[in-house]
Amino acid sequence: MMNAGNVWVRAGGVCLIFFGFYLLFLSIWLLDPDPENGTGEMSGLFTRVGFAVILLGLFALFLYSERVLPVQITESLASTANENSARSIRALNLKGRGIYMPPGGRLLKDRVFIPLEDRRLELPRPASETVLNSGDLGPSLGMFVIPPGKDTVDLVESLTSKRFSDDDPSDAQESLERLTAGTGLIRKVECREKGDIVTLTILHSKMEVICSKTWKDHPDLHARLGCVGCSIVLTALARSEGRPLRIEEARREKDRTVYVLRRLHN
Amino acid sequence: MTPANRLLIALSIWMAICLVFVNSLEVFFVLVLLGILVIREMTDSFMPDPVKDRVNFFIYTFLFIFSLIVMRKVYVILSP
Repeated sequence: MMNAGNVWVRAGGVCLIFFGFYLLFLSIWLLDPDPENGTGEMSGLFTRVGFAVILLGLFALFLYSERVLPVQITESLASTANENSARSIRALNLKGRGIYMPPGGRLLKDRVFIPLEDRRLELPRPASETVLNSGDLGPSLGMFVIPPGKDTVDLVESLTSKRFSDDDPSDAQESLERLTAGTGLIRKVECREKGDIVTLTILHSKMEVICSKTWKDHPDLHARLGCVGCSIVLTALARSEGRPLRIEEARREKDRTVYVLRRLHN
Repeated sequence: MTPANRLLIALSIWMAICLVFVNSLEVFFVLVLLGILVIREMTDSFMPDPVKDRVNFFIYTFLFIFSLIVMRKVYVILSP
């Protein structure tokens, strides 16, 4: 679906190309390039401006234009997904804090483990198809959920041909730049590390409405799973770290969401 | 703002600067090519592949123009 704003940019691009050719036409036919009457310099200027305008038009046509989903539709989809997650977590009475697990071992895709109790028990080792740990995978009972931001992270990886798991784990900040400068989805991410504790500060841009709504309607969800926008960052970070990250704390500071995460050694 | 939009703005500013300070069309084309190459390199890590492909198309076009300019210059110098 094409964004309405982009239609005008494309139309502007076409107009610029026509205007550029008009300037070239002027420089070639209407102006006498005879140096004695002083119009030669003007002709040269018209030629350069003409080419520049044509180039701008081509850039506007081929570089600026994108086909995107309108923000309202994305917000409504994400809002429903958040609502469903919060209802399921509440219905199952899951009290533990979420653990973002990157693919590894028998687990072929990212999962978030939400323990039943808020206790620090040994992390179960699930397979990709595991949904619940009812005791067969270890003492920590709970549910394995697909991170809401997983597909977006997959999309970013496929578009940039670069996997987060190939990034240097010691430079998570640079890794996460691909989500900020690369997509415009998140305005700013700050990642500070101290030992096994990682403090992540997320300032949303397009997902801010969803994030603040989630904080208002379901204050516990960020500590269990995170909203869609936060989940994108957490999934990418877990992949680049290559090890599970437990959410120790999730809090709202003005317009930012702050996560305190602990690296788990499995 | 997406990387493609930033790239467009950066190129527009660069072309405007070139237009102000450069009198020769050939130098203008070469400077625009250099601008695209620099911006392409600086945005490489977070630019989506489809946008990179489109920028590459511009780079190849400008390289073709650049080769024509070089050939013309060589001809002018070597011609009796």
